[in-house]
Amino acid sequence: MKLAGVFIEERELIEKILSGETDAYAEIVRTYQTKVLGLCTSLLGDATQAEDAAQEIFIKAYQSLRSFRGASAFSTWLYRITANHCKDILRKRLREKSESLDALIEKAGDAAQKLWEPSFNPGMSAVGADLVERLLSSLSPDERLILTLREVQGLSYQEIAWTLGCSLDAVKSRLRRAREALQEKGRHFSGPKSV
Amino acid sequence: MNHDTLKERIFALYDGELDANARKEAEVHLAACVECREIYAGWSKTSAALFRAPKAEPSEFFVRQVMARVHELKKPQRPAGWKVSLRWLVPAVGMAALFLMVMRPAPVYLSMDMMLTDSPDIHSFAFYGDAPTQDETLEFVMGGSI
Repeated sequence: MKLAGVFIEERELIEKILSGETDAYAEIVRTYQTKVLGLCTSLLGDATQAEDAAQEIFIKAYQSLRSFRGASAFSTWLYRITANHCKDILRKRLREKSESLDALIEKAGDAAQKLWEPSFNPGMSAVGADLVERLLSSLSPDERLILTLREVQGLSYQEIAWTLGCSLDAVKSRLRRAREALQEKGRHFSGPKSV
Repeated sequence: MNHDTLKERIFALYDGELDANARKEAEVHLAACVECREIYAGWSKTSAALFRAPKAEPSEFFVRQVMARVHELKKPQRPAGWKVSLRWLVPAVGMAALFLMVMRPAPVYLSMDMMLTDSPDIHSFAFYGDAPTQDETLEFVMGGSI
């Protein structure tokens, strides 16, 4: 949680930008680029696409800066823009033809079984990374988003509620449903006993 | 804490979202319940396998790219359809309308009772002339039968 002083500094920075000191926006980009890019990479998988998305998000945020009222932390506001932008990309992807989960498992062969081994590191093998990405892609954009906010970004339930603009109870139930959906899909990979 | 209650809270326990007392109760139940332990361990395994934080390094090149585009845009956009020079007109027109509504004289409706009173003001307003006497008025109303 940020201190009130940091919020005031941020507010002053935003006022500067709005009064015409455009260059001050570089400080905002510098401060939040890793957070935004990290969330984009987690949600979109592809690094190049994630960087393009992050750039678009900072442009969108700049254009709608006047609508930031300071009711929430700036980071939460920016996360909300990020989440919505990435969700739109994921929805577009869903409309494209994708390989079925069963076909994917068959193609992956032994690699699918190795996913749940403690020594498995998707970053070490292209097949493994691809498999993880495709498994996560089989979730709905909403499921993937809420799981990423919690599991990768480490946001608390309250922070997720602010980011998604929903209640705490909704966060709990959506998170639970998303986890159950993912575990169900994971059972295809490793057999009923493993997950 | 019973089994069904913990099953509901198992992910909250995993996420560290339970308060101290609830967490203690949950941990006691977890130690004794095989099914709940399997759910907890199953999710830990899935999470470790599928969710890893990507490495995102700060990049000045990225900042420059964004800022180049920002400079092309110039200023943050104002809400569509508003022109800066005319914005003062909205409160001004509103105030003028309010002023006219307040200052407008209220209409006077004369009832029969009012016409029959002795108030010279009302009579003079109603007939624009000398006020009739009460008898004259009654005669007028009753059609000369008095």
